[in-house]
Amino acid sequence: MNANNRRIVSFKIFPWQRTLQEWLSVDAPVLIYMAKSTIAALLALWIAMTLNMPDPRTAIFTVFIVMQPQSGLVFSKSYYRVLGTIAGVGMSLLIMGMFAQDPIWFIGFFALWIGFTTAMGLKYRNFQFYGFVLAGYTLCIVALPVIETPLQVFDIAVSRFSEVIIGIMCATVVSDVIFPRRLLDSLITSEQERFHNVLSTLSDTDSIFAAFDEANPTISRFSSGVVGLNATRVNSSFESGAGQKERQHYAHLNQEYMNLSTTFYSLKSIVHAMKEQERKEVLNALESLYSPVVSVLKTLPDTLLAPEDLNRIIRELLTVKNTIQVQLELDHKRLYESTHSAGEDEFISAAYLIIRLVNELHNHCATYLSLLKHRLSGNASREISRVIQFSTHTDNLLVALAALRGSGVLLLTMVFWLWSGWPYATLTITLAVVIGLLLGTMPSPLDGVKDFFKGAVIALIVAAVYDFYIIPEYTSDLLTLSLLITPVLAFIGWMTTRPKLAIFTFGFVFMFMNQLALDPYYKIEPTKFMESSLAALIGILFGGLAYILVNFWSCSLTQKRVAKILRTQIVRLCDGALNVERSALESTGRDLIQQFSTQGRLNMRSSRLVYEWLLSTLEIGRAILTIRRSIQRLYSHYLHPSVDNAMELIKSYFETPSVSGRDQLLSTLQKSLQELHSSPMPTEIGQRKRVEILIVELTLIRTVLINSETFPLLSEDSCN
Amino acid sequence: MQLDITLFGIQMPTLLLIFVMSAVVQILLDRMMSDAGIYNHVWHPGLFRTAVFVCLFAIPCLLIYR
Amino acid sequence: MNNSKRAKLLRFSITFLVLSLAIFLGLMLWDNYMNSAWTRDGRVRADVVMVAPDVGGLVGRVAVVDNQFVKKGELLYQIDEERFHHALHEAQAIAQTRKSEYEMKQHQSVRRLAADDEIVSAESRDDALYDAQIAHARYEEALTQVETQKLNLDRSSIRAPCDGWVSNLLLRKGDYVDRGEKHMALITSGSFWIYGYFEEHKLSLIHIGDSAEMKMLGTKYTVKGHVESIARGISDRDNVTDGRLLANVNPIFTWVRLAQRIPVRIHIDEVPADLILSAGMTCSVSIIPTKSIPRSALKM
Repeated sequence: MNANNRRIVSFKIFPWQRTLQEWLSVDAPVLIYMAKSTIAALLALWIAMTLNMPDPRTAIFTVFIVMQPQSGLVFSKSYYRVLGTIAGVGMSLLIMGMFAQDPIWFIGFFALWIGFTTAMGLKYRNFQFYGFVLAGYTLCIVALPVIETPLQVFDIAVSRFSEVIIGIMCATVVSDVIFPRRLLDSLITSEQERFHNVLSTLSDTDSIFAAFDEANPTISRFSSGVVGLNATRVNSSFESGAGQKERQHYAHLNQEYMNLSTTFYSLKSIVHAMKEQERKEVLNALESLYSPVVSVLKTLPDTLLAPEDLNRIIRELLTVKNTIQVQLELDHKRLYESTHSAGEDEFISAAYLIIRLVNELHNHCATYLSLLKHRLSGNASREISRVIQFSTHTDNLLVALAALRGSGVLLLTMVFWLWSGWPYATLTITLAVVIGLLLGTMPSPLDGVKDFFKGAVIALIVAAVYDFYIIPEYTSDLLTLSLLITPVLAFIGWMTTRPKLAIFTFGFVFMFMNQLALDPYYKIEPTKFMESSLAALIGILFGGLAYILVNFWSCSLTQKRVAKILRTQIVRLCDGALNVERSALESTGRDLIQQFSTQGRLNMRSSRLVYEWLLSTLEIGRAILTIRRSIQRLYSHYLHPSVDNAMELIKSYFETPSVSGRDQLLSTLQKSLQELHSSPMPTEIGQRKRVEILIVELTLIRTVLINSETFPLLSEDSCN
Repeated sequence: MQLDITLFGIQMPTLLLIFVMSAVVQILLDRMMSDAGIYNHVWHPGLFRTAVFVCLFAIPCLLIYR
Repeated sequence: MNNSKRAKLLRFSITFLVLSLAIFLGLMLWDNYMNSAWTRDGRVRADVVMVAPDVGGLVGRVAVVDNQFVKKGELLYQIDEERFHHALHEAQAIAQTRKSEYEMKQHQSVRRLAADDEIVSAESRDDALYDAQIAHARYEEALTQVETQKLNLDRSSIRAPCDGWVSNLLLRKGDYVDRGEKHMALITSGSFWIYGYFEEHKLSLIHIGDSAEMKMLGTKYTVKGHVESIARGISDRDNVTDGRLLANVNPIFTWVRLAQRIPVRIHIDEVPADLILSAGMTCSVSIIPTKSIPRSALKM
């Protein structure tokens, strides 16, 4: 607070300081990053040339590939780049050793490897994906140029590897030593933002009790960033200073956030159902149940949270939980005094959801407080023992298609090579494979190919100016060469900071580094330049062609596919193992949706729809698990065959959804609920609780089913 | 001391082997120091880390070159 | 406040301590690596005598096997001698004829010298004397021919010119060898030396007489020696003379000037007992300077 005041005062004295401040926070990082990447690139060039590497361009190219504003990203990318290069180099040695004389086997094995790396690249996330991409295309770079002279493969492999290492060393050292920017800092910033978002959403009664609104972004706001933040957390493990404990905190926060958003959505859909039935009284009761939470959250300051504030909140939330419990009993008695009526279950489950929400919020706040304390003083208040695994789900069909595409484009270009006998066609193969591998996970690969092509063409023009005019005219040694290419390097650095230009930049860097005269000695011939440029451009076209040919994804197909996967998930939960963690359920689902929404070209409306399906699935899945656990522990004479019957029906409904099945399921659920109510409650506390849980969860399932009209029936086509 | 070592019939400078080994040691050490919170007590963790690696690499090398 | 200041100072000092240590060690390593006189590029060399026959003919017998050690004068192979025997006999027969001719002329000349002027003219007496001298010379010639044929016969067995090892023996019985054609390499024993190819900037660290250690590739053996001499010239790779004796200068230039390598000849003083030294072996050579290094001579 004090510091803030002082800053404000100083602003008044020096008005231009605000401008300076802004410059420091917005423009300076970009400039620093440009300087950093340029320095790293020149350092790599110098070392590679001094050590007499045959191909210094690889070192400088590597620098630009792994260079990122935050050090953690650089480390992580470098790590996977090294692994990918090792795999690719090893495979080249193997393949050249075994099949160099046998074209059929050679091409077959090559295609298998490319298909495998494409598939694995899709199966794994983030920079692991990048490692696989490299493993694939390193094979092209190492094995193809020496196909005529197989004995050289070892030399090329070793020098390629050394060059990559040089590039990586330069990039990591420079990014960690010169004005380092740590990934953890950005992680804490986004975590802060998300936490405040949660609090502000929950402190607003309307966000729950107002009607569903197409334009209301609450849900999508609540949904964003789970997968992304997890990736950031994983990558930050390469940075210095991030203890195991801090990362565990982040994992837990992510998990709790996912739980919160599921509960929030379920509550909202129940409220929505009540609104449609115009049950004012019940709604008012629920709203008053929730109001203590709002009043607690409203007391929070808008600025950064201090641990003291949080501490207070956590204490108050605990008391609020108890008041809600008491209030619930009262309301319950008041509303449904004597007889059991239709709306009672919904009221109970909504109230139950509110309590769950408060519970989860309490946990979330406690973990956040613990993180704050850990950062401030190093002693976390919360002992986090359980390690949370972020599970991922990969759709095998998607992976198989990608593998098919990767192998296909390789075979196509191989045929082109054999047919034309053009020595530069190896470059065509390399480019096509790179495109096939790299853009496979883009939302719209074809646009990516276009961007790549544009970048490549511009790079060719710039490289031509350098090769034929600037370098022969003005350079005489390494120093002048470095000075003259510095502007382009800095420009590339600037482009990498623009996310919109990502693929364009990649194309630019790839072609520029390929065609610039960065050999140990200057040897550029116009014909060679033209021919290799042409070969590369043809390769890009081939890569684009592969995306046109092997692409069966349409919006409705994606929707069907997602729905099917979600359905099978529920079916599996109905009769599979009981020891599924809720965290695994949540993270798998979210990862799946993330994957499909980048791969499967969904429009705005349908991607929101798919997200709602996900949340329904998560709620139903969680409820099923809870019911099954309760049944297991319930004494047999309290069990009702109708509950088992309902579970069976749920399973069969999700196996083969139909309108009649839905009606049947809803009525069965209703019936078993009535049966549970009408039969006498167990007197023992534990058993009684379990029966109550049964009722609540069955009601929840029923409510969710009633509300989600599009899932799993797919009655609405949102794609048009 | 030996300036060259032979692994699987390939002669390579010992420096290369030391480099790889010190990289492994560095990674382990980094994990340990990071968990122990040592990086909170240094001014520039990145610089510190690089310096530690240089030391790790240079000391065995100097023993060889003497 | 004071405490936090101290903590800050501590943070700075830890970092700078480690940093300066790293810089120090790094510089030392760089210095040692770049400026220590060693190279991975060393080769064992030896004097090789290329044995060629003095006479041509069919090889009748090869007396040695591959990689056999031979003493000086030992038989290496035998060229079929029959022809030389015949030639010797022929020469001997000619010599016999010449001898008789000479004796006849001599006798004639003595007889004519003894007769007086009326019986034999002075001219014919002189003629007889000259005839006898010519016949003597022809006899001498024939005798030399015999000696030559004897030498040829002798040279048809090819013998080792020095102690050494027969190397890469490809000659087989029945081969036809021409005179002067090289057919067998003999590695002279005791003539082994080592060429270490040192970067040019390291030459100033090397002095004649410095002791050297050679580590043989892939073994644990160390060979000891000393610097015998330093080559005084290598060819300019960027300037190859063309067919019309004009300079052919390379049109490309390198960004980084790489050091050329100059051969340094090392005399072998001590070979481990169980190490078999072969010409062409690879080794790394490190020179242990006996004199202090003139620092000013080095470019850092």
